Amino acid sequence: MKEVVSSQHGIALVILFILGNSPLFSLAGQAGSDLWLAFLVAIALAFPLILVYTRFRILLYGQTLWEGLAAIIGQWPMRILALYYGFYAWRLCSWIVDHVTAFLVAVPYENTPETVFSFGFTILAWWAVKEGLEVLARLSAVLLKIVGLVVFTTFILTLTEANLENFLPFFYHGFTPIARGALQLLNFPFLEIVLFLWAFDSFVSKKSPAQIFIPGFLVAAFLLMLFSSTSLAVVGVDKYVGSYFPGHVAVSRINIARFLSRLEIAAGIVAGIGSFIKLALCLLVASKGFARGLGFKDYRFLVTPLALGVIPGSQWFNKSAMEIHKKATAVWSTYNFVIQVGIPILLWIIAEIKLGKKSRGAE
Amino acid sequence: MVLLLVVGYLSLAAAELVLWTERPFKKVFTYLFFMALALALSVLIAVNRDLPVPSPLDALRVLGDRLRKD
Repeated sequence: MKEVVSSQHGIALVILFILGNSPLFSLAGQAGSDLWLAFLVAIALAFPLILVYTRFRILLYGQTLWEGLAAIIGQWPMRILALYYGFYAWRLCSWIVDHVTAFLVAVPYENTPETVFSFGFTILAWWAVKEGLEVLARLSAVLLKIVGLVVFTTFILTLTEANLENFLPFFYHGFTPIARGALQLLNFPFLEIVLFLWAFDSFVSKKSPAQIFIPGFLVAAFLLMLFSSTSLAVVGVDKYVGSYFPGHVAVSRINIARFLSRLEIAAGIVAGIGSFIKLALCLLVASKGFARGLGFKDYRFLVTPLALGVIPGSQWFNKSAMEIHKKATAVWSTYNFVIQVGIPILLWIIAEIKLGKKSRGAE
Repeated sequence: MVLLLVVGYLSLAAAELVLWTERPFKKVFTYLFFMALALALSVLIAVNRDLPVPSPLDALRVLGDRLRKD
């Protein structure tokens, strides 16, 4: 069954996917007070890759992703790639659940076992994936309004606590920390958008990939920049880099006339909704990847075992909050580089050689 | 705990298979295979929380370092 998503819904899905669990962490903490510059550099570096992803999907227009891939690289390499990305998506599912449960156990529910949250969260995503991509995209459009409202309100309220001197001095440690911060942002969360290559079977029109990926990425990147910069302006560089959940700390500082305070839940709402959408999409890609890799057209029958595997998986990959934070804010990952940069560029070059002329001729 | 996990997975798999309208062998086999993998991981994590994560890239790096030293 073909699942087609409109551009507006697709954009909402991309925005919530990139926001995902990222607001929990001290993104680009390596850049210190030049955090906003690291964001701008990361956006500039990621943008060409987003264009590559977009162009690749435009070249495959008129056929489903799987038919297109089989046509350009052959049936068996397509299957191996599908399995590879399926595993990547499943691993990401485990990480997301791990991140969210670590946050919940560390901050609001100290004495609750992690498994309780990971089970509840995974079951919710399992349900969403069983309903399919179209339902997930429509749900994203609704949830994005809530997230937008919370982010905007929180941003306005945190301005009362923000100290812009926390952004000074500029370039004090040179360009290296900024580059490190930018690389960390590319690694997580900007280029994780690569999973969208595998999420959509086909698009409404030829322009749809460009209408979904580019604005979705830019809006999400600027929202994250706003969120992280505000957090840094409120808590200061040392606390931003040193705490596990700086966004939460920043929002908890809001205190307007001793009346409007204790608004930490706002950071939790953004991270919770984003993580749920991201988890559901990763689970969807994992199911599709494994199903296609093993030669099945229907993916829904694999959702349950993969979702159940996420629960122990979330306790397997990272053993402590420190390890989670260290891996989430790592500057470089060879595994991620191959998945996010190497393979998509290779696929785009092959597609351009095999389908480029035909595509340009059709235009 | 292990017994509880096994019973839970088995009953869930049985319930879901009963609800399928068609049960082609290949699909059922794949489903059960993935269920078995999920169960195995659950049991291993339940038995040993510090189960090491296989890292082929690290293994390659160690091998490269050893070859360079030799």
